[in-house]
Amino acid sequence: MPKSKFLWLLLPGFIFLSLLAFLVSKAPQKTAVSTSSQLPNTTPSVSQNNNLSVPSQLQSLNDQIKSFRLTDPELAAPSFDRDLDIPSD
Amino acid sequence: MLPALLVSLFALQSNYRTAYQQYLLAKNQYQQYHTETTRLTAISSLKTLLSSRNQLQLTYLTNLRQALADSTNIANYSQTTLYLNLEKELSTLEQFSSDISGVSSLSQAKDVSSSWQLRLPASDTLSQSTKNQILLARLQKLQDQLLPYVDSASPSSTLDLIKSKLQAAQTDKPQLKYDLLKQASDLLVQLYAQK
Repeated sequence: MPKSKFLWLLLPGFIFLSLLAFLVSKAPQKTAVSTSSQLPNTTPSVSQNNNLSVPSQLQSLNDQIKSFRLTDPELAAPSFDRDLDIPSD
Repeated sequence: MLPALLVSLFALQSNYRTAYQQYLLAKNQYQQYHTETTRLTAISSLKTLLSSRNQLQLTYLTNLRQALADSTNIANYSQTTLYLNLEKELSTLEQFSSDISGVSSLSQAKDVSSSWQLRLPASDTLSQSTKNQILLARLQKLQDQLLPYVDSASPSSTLDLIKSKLQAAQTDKPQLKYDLLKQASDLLVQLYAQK
């Protein structure tokens, strides 16, 4: 059998396998997208520690308390040079 | 609003530093040459320095007064007293502004500067008390928001501990109040998580 004819016989098989590989690679991605897009709708009040019992407002309040700054730069006093050592006239 | 005030204060602090460096330069030249020109330059640079120093303190206390008004409802005695003392201090600093404008000699400048510096420790004490009051008011607001969650929690030994911490948080020390509030808040989150 000539070599070119042998290649023509293999071509449909090669195309079929390529198509199958393409479909298999696409299938799991579609599932992942649909799952992640549903997450915000199905769990709107999930807190940071993943516990549904903690109200989201309480968790948010707890975060605010933790990030509270006792040394607020907006309240920091200016510094002055105490002694100007003014000369006489 | 407050970040803009912070930027304004930073700019005034920078002006003060520049004025201080220029005064040092003018003072050194006057001490070296003792001419009328160097004397007048020293007076002029000193007036700029005293004015920028006064303006910096005036702006700082004005910002504090605004922050106090924003954080509290000026309802209790200590807050009202602080507010009135700040008003008085601001009025004194405004009087210093006109005193500095009238300075025409180094000895006059020396007197005005000494009077200003004599007030500074009391002014520092006032600003520190005001800062504490602002922090306490901010923390109290957070504490008040926790109370509905405490009231709706089921009785338990953890809840009793939370209540005792919140009771102890009624203090006039900001650091202690913050520590107790944080502990109570963490415990409350744990309590709800156990449900």
